[in-house]
Amino acid sequence: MRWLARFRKIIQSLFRRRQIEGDLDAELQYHLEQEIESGIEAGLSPEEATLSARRLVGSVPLYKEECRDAWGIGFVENLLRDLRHAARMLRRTPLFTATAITMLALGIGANTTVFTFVENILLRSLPVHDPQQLAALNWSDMSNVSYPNYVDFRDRNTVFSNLIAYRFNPANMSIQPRENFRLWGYEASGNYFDTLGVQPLLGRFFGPAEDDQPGANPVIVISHRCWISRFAADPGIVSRTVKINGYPFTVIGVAPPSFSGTELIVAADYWVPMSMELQIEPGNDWIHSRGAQNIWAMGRLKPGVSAAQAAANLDQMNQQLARAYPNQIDRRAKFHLSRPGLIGQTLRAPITGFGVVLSGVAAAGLLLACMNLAGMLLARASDRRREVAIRLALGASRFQLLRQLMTESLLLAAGGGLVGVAIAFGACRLFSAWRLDFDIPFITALDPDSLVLYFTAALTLSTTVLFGLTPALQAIRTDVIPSLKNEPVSNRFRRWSVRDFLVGGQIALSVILVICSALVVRSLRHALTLNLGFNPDNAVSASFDLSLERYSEERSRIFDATLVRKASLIPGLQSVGIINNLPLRVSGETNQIVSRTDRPVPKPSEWRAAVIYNVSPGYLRAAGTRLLAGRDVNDYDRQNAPPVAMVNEALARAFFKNENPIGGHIRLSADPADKGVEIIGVVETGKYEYIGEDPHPVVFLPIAQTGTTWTTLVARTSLSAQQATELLQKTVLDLDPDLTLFNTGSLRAQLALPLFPARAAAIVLGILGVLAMVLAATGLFALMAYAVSRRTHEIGIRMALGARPAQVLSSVLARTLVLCAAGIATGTLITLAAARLLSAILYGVSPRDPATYITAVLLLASVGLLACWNPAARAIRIDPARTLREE
Amino acid sequence: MGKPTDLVQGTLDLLILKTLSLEPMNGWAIAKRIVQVSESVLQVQQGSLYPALHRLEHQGWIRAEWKDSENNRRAKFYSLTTAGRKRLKAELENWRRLSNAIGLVIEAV
Repeated sequence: MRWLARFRKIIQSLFRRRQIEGDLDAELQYHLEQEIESGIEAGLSPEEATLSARRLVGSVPLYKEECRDAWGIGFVENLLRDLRHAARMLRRTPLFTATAITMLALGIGANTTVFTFVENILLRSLPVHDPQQLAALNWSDMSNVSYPNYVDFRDRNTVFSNLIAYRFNPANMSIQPRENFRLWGYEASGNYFDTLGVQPLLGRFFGPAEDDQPGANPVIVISHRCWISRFAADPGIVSRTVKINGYPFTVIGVAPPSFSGTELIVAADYWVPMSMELQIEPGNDWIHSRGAQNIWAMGRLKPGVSAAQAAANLDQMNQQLARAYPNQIDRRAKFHLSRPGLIGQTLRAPITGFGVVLSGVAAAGLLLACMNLAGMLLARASDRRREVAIRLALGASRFQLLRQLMTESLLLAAGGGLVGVAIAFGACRLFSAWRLDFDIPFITALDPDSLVLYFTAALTLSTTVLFGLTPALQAIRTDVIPSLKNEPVSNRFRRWSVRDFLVGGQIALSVILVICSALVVRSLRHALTLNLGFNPDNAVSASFDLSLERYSEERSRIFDATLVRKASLIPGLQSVGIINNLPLRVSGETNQIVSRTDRPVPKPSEWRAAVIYNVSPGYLRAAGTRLLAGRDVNDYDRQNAPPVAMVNEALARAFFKNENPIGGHIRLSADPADKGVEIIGVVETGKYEYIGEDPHPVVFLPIAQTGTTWTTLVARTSLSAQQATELLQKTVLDLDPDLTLFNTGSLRAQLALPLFPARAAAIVLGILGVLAMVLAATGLFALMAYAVSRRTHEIGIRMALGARPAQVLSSVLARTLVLCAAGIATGTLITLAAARLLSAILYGVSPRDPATYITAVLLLASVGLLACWNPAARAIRIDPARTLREE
Repeated sequence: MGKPTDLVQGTLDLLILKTLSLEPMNGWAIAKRIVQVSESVLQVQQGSLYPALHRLEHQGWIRAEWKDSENNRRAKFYSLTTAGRKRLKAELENWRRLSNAIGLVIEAV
């Protein structure tokens, strides 16, 4: 209260300032006049009286300031005056100001962006009622429990007020025939919404009563996003019927926009009761299996129950269950509880690690920026030695000067902070707008909130101290007399200092980053011309999942055969084929152990695996994969015909060396009784899992002999990708209007995904490379500027004694050039030594590519020279006459 | 910022409060009175007087109003508030205790 009152008084006096000043003037005037009068009374002449009175009264402005201090308005006034002065000083050196603000803005912007990521994923709670009470179940190294175990835990535990379960799955939604799409969402326990305390935007949520009997309650809640994008925000959505995997469901509600499920990294678009599991995952009856540990669970802790107590209770129940079902439950499993949202605990450690690395890089960048800025300020401080000395001589206190200099730093930091926040918000928007072409709907939205702004404000203040304090302290230590006489600071021989090494380190770091990013960019360009084992041009594909529509293997074989026959008849499609899973789709390839049947089954230590694909006749031509020997699979390779396979060259070479593999037999298991399959053809080796991989053995089996419900239809075409894709879609939907297609489009466009890691690496390394280069350049600039300004006097004398500009230049530049050369050499050597680490994401470019190295070295050398240009030019422009006269 | 202080700050406050306890006075009169009463031993510099007056006013121990002085000129007259009287009492006691203590120490040696 007292503080509040005082504060009010200060504010009032700020407004009453004019009156107070007037009063003060009148009061002091009165005093002066009284003094004069008493002087005259004492017998002095009026002139003498005035003079002596003035001497007695002294400096009026000084009293005024002290009176202002007494009223508490001095502080605010001083601050405003300091700010005005600082702004004037900064305006006078626009280049310095712009450089400083840019550096700080980049540093603060990067840190704010990284913090937003950390805050969004690691610190934020789920958007539900009282999220602190929620705890996710983890056990051993997994976060999954089986449904029957969950039911037992839910009904018997004494620690949770509620225990919910959910499972994330894709489903096909069909609004009307031929209008189908693929969605990911939750099968959720009946108490899910009640426990979370989420309120529907429209309609209602389902409750426990709708989750009691398998298959009895086909109701669905959809996400706000799905409602907007798929149903055009239809206000009459509630009680509409849609088909999920061909099965009619009633829409009962729409979730609020803030709620996209109980995981932080994937967004759910629908919720159905868990009892509808068989409709969502046909043929996968896990609801009765204790062995199928495939649902995620989280509970709301009862008040006063700790996570450890709850875990002990779960362990106890688990042991009871293990006694009843010894073959299906591991008795030794230990539970622990964690914050929910990252698949229990599973992703927390890797994401935390990622966050720590990112924060570390960003913080190191900001620290370097601060250090360089401190260097620039030091140079500036020695330029301003005279100004500081004059002000000290005029009676400014050192504290006032410190305050003044720190205000300047604060103004710089605030400018950097503001621009940095703008940069961070821009980066977050860019990141949020970016859609990864991936089946699972990962959440990429970054959403900075007030906590982020507090963080940035704190960061800005600490950078002020970090870069401003040392130079300011140095500046106010100025000795008045020598500075006014313009004597040189000290002629102590300057040894290599820590700052020199730091700048050298920055140069080395930017060399490393520039070389790495250049290598990755070159290899990306190379990747687009690489032999992938198929021809991505003039080909399109579309995928669908027959198992979701409850196709048996037999039915899907017939469906696939019919589909290929029909599609082959379409004009414009030159060849059509089916593969279970396109190479490079990054969707988990099937690997199997392969061995020759004419050799004994190898020991487990010598097992070799191959990727297995299932293809239809015509796939090779459609994909543009070249057949090197033998024949393609054909319509006679049916179920009862002898089993056959095609292999790639890598497999042929690995297992058959110089023998002819055609006619040879391989088994796809470790079972000695396995008769194996006959090799009928050899195709070229391609890329299967990622673009940078080494040649990998692959087996292609005919779809008619194996069957698959995952299907990708591939067509080679002379039509445009869009036309051809539409034709494929039409053909599939003509056969079954309920099917949902995904991953549609040209093969070229679909390569974006496998190229993504390299592209992301190129972007990140590129940004870091540019930042490091800016840092190194400013560091060099600061060092040079400081050196030149300290030696102005000495250079003046040298020039007066007849030194030529070239000599001056070499004496100024020598150290910096040595530093540059050493930094560049170190960076290059480190990159050469660490090049092997890069080879995982490089293809077709040697990690020691000389052209790249030379380019990077030249680039850095020219950046270094550019940074030195201004201070060096200043050094030779020094006018000896003026410098010496200034003494 | 070194400024000439003839009196310890707290002491000047005490002198002003004491002077004002007799009657409301303007700044010049206060300075004159202190000089007279102390038989010119204590010199009050204007540089200390006015900031002290403003400080005391700010703290609510004295209040100021513009009135006509004896020679019919407008001057700012300061007078003691109730809080100021209490403060004076406390300061006086404090001062007596202190000077007493100093006296004891000096006499003892």
